[in-house]
Amino acid sequence: MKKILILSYLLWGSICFGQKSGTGINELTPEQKLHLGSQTGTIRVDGLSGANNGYNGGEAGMTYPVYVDANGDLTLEISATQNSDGYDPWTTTGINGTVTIPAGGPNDGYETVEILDIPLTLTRPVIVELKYSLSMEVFADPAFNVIKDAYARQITNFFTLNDPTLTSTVRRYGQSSKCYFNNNDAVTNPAAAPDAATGFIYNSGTTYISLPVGTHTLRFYGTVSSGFSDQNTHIKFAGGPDAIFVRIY
Amino acid sequence: MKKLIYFIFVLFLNTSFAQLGIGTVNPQQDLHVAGTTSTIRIESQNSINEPLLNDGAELAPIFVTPDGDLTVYPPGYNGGNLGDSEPLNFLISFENFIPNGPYGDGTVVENSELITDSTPHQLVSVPFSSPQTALIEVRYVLTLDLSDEFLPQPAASPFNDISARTIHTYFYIDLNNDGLDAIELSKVYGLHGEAYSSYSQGSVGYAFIHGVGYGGIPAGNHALVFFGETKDGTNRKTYVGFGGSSDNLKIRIYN
Repeated sequence: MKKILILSYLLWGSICFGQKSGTGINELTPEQKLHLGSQTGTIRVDGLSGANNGYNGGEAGMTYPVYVDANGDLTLEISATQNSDGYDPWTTTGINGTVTIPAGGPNDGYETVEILDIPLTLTRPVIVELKYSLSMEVFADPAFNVIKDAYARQITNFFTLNDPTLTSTVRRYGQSSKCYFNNNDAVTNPAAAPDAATGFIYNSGTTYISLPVGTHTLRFYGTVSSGFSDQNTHIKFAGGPDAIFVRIY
Repeated sequence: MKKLIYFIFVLFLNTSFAQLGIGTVNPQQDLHVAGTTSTIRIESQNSINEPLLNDGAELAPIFVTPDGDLTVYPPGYNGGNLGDSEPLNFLISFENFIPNGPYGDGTVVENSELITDSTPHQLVSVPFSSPQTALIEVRYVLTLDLSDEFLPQPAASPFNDISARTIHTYFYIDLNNDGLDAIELSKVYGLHGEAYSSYSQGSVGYAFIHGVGYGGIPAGNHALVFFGETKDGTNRKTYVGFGGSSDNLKIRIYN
């Protein structure tokens, strides 16, 4: 009996610890910890099969990408780094969500606002996929009066990377713009009160950004332009449902 | 001796089914390959045995088959035919998912002079089936046909009041395709909005808009329910035909 125990221990040992360099299956000289030497055989993991794993659709001819989690465990599960998934991620007051062209400012017809920052700390180089839909309403002033003049407004959103100050040469990512114009009854009844829809219109942008190791800040901006001269304008961002999607590759 | 062989045989069976550690006596998974530099080599998936998919220069991603077998075959690959090269799973790809209607006005949302905000109007409900739990990407493109007179009719009437309208589209995900409940109605996807105004004539042709949304869904039979709505000024008339021309819709499993 003692002999049998010793033998079984040796046998168990050879499977658990393998040869010096690893365990081989159809492989006499394993070159990895586990080495499958067969020209056709592979590894079957029942826990990843269509019958057992919800992320495996089980359709004939289809395959499903495998990832490893923090422990190194194989998994089929995938989720975005950030996905609002239908819920509204932003409110106007929760972000820096308004921009106003006031009367009496520098007469350039242009104002900008830094809406929010997304800090990222990276331990490896990545590619960030970024998509957003931002709701906007267009008014003449912070009292939400409707615009009625002969000037079109252009509202633009974009991201910048790391530059704390926005200058004309800073690279912009995921730009999107909309125009707005209301001058109702200007011909038939110029004295008519302002009368038009004010929103929601959307800017939707998408971009990919390559980032090196380190600490980064993505800055989300909104700008509004009324042309060469200042025309009273007040933009309210994020008053309606919005969406953000971030995936890191 | 016979007993001994039997014992060894039983032991082998045991190692086939119990947890197995390589480089560890305390396996944390059914198969646990320990060691800070350890990995697994599968020769059948190397560049010699799978030269088309593992070219020896670029890293090849790994997948599982419906049986759970590890493979370098991407989804739908069946030997290098056209269309096999993209490792993408599309659930549906519809051309013209909103019927055009007799005059090419699609589904019309009315906003008469009696109202300023139209009620949200269902454009179409598109059933789809997902065999798996998934993060899905939905992309849609559809056309707008704008008019200040009643649609549908053979020709749209251009706006001439210089008063801004806004047009807004989005969709909900109806899980199990059993009607939208309160939770499903609280999640809005594929947001898009436009503003339009004109003074005398102006374009009334089809304008294309598009939206994209990302949602987590379980396996099952579901539906995407698209809505459109419009806003305008007091006593203004706005009629918008959604999807009267060539629209399309794709759902991709976003893995």
